[in-house]
Amino acid sequence: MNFLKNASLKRRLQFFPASLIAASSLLIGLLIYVILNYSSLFDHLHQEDMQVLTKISNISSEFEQTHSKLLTLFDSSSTTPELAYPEATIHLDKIHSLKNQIGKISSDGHLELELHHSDQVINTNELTNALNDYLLTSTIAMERYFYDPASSHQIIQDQVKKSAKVNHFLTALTSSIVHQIENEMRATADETIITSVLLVILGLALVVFTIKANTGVARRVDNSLSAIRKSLLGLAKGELSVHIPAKDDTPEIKEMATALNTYKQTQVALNNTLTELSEIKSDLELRVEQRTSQLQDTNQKLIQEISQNLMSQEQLKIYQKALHSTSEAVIITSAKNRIIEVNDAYCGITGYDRNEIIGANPSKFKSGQHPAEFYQQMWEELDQTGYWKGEIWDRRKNGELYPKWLTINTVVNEQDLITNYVGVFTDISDLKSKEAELEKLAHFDPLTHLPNRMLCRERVEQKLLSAKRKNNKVALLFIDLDRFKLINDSLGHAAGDQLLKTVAERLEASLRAEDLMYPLNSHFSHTIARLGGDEFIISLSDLNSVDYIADIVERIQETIRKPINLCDREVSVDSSIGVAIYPNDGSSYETLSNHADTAMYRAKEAGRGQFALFTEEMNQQAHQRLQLEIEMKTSIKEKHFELYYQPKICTTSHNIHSFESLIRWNHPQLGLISPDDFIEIAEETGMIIQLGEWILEEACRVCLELNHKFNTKLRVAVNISTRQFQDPKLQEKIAKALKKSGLTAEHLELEITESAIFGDIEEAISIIRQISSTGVRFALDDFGTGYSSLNYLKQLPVNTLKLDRSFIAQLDQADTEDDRKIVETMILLGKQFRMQTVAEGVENTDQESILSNLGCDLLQGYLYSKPLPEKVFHDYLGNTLNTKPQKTA
Amino acid sequence: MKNPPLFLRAVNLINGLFIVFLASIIWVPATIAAEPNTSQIQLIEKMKQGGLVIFMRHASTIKKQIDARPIDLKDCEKQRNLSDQGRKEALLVGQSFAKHSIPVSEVISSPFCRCKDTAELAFNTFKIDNNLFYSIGLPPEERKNKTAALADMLSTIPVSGNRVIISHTSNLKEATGIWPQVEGAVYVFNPSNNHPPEFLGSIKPSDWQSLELFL
Repeated sequence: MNFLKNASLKRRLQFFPASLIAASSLLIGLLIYVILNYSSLFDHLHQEDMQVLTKISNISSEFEQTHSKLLTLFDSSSTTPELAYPEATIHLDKIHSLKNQIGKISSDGHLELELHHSDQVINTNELTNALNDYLLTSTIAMERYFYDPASSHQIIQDQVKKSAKVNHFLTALTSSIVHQIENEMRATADETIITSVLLVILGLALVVFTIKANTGVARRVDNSLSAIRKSLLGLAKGELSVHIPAKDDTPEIKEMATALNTYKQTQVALNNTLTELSEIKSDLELRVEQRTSQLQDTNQKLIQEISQNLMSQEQLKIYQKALHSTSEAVIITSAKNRIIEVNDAYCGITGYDRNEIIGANPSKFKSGQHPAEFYQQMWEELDQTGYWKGEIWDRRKNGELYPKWLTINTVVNEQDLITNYVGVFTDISDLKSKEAELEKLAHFDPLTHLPNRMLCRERVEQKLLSAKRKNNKVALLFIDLDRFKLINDSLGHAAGDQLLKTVAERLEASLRAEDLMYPLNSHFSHTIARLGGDEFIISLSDLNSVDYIADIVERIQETIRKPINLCDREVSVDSSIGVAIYPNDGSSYETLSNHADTAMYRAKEAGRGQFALFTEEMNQQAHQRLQLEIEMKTSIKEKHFELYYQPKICTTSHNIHSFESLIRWNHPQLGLISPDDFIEIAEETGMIIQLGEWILEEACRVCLELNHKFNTKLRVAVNISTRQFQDPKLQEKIAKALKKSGLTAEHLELEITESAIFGDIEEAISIIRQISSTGVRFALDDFGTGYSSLNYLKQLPVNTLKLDRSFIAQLDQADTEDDRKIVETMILLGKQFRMQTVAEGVENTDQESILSNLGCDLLQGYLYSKPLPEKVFHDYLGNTLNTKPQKTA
Repeated sequence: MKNPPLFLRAVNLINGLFIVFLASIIWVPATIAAEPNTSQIQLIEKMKQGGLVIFMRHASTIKKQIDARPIDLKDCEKQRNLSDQGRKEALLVGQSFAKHSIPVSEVISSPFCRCKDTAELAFNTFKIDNNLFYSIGLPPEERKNKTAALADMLSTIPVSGNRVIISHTSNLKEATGIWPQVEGAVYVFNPSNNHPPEFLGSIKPSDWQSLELFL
């Protein structure tokens, strides 16, 4: 409305009525337009769209009817072709006519050829085609129905499909026409709404404008005039802030205002210049102050930064040094697992040069020893916990595999994202090999390379567990080589070791051999172990029967018995084997091995090369033995042992020449226990040492007492067992006993058996020499029962030979010429070596006369006296010394 | 269960034989009943004289095959064709015509392969008329025209001998109301100009052999 701004008051007043008339006519025009629009729409709908819609829906329903009639017809088998044909033809013709109707609708142009239906373009041609398809299929169905009703079924299905398609197109067509109608109506409705709104707005605007404009013009003129009056009064008073009315008013008022304004401006300009000058000054001062403080800040920061930089360089150097001086390999990779740093130790262990591997992926050094899952797990753990450690095998540059103990840590930034991985590891291949060696040492016998006692136990326990599950049997065989000690001592330790090795190899071979399995027709697994010394243990598991255990054991014995060449000699070794069987003889390794051991001892007792199966009776015996062992300990303490004494008589003088001390165990509950029953136990348990010490002292004491009492120079003989003889403190103990009793060494005779000296003859000779150098005499007991060889007898510094009672017992028999000759030879032998000969077990005068005729020096036996307790022996001596020894018939 | 006594078994045997005997008596009249009626013999006599129109349905076809639609006349593969049985039938009909000296002056066939083959095998020579096109499935207008043409052929008296038309079931049905159910069967009409033709009778392919005996 620019033109109004400059218009005079008169013009302004004329303008409003004119614009009111123009706007009203515009409103009426719009109304007429809306009405016309609606009428044309309804006309169109009535004449075209609705008709097409009706036709299409008619076609649709007719098609549906015809189709269902056709189906019913083809589905029935009651009519003959002749009767069905006319009906079928009528239906097909109907379809034909429907098709034509569609064609007509589209060709009349009532229907646009392409209709849009849910984004899919539907062409009426397609509908025609679908109808055509349906027609063809129906024709085929009809023909089939007449020609071969049986096969028409498939085609009827086809026909149904085609009809569905036709229906689909019909529905689509209908809905698209409806859609079109809707669109047309909606468009018109939209247009009407817009027009109506427009009309209302225009009408309202017109009313408001007219009222506003009329009152506005009047008020404005009044306002302008009063404003100018006010300004004039103000200016006259000299008030510079006075308001000057706007210039955009009618030209008349504008001129007045301009004049006023010019005056006011001059005044104001003067005042402003003064204020501005003072403001500029204060602003300048403020800016100088700000700048100075900024400069100071910057300076401070610079100084800090420089010092920090210096510090971190220093730290970096330290870290670098630490990294390269540590003996553990360090590897740092990027988040993508590329090597970005390694230390010197890393290069030393892996053999790679630093430059070669920076940037590489550590997986390059994989050993291939671990499955993919191993690494996968490692990474998962790393991702979850940020930490992983474990043993891992890698490959050195030279291809060698090595184990390392690796620790990996992730390094994360402030956002918690992984920036690096740091791996630290040590080469543990040395450790590993030592570990393996230790493992071997701990579990295997270094001589035979067989499992040792510990591993044997482990394995057998495992087998017992498995046998428990499978309900199988396990046999434990305790093997002990007979006379191993003899071979070891006589041929040397090297030969003994060789023997053990050979036996171990043979045991393994014999259990591996097919011919062992064959006759048994069974498979079992086994473990062979060496328990130490000459003891081996074999476990046979997965046994379903124990029937052939005896077979196996005999074969093992045969295998061991085969001659072995040791030190250029053919040696044959027997073995004693004890067998215990799970579950019959026990369910733990402990029990089974104890029982096998017991059985083995029983086998040994039975002679060489025997074997024994454990029996409960043995167990009882073993218990008894154990009981005895315990009793023996208390008996030693409580002095239930007692020495008995038996005289030796000189054949020439018939006087008592000396006497032998014999141990007896007088148990308060068990009564008198024979030495045969307990000496062996004492020997095995080592209690013989303690007991022997007591015997020595007791015998010496009694001997001195007797000699004092009867003024005699009798000599006491004390039996020394093998174990005692080997006691390094034997000499010391003898000296102690002599000293304690005051008996002179010449009155003590030690009786030793061949077995005691057999171990190491050289050693035995030197022991005997040492002890006899103090004056103590030695006698060789049970002569003739062992393996006496002239060779060692010659060297042996003993003074007396005691002929075993077994030879003597035979002497008085009629057909014992041989025995007599043996005894004669032994006596001659003693004389030859200048040894005294003693015959044991003399029981009658026949024996006495034969022995004295043969030149035996001393006789001992029941003929003269049985072994007597100390007090009784006192009496015996008292009676005998005054008279000649009495023969107790 | 014990065996029945000997004499009972003999009676059983005789009974069995008697049943066979009875069956043979009943059987003989059954075969006699299959003998064609005298009208078929008369029909052949009339055919020998000529002047008739003989509509023959194409011979037996392979059941499995179906005419592909729309019909492609150039491609026999896409049509239902003569079976081996059908070929024998066509030959048989031709031979029988020759044997009985039934004169054939013209052979008009549908353009379908099964009709052309039938015509070729039976009569060696033929011409094709599109008006004999299988009428099933044709639009009503077209069918009407073709039916009119066939009706014309059936009612037009041939100049000499007999006119043989080889076509389909529905065509004859449309033109005469007769449905030629059996393949290879002939339907004989006596034409009279300007009037519907008179139906004289039909002969199925299987009839020809038994007719031999009586001619």
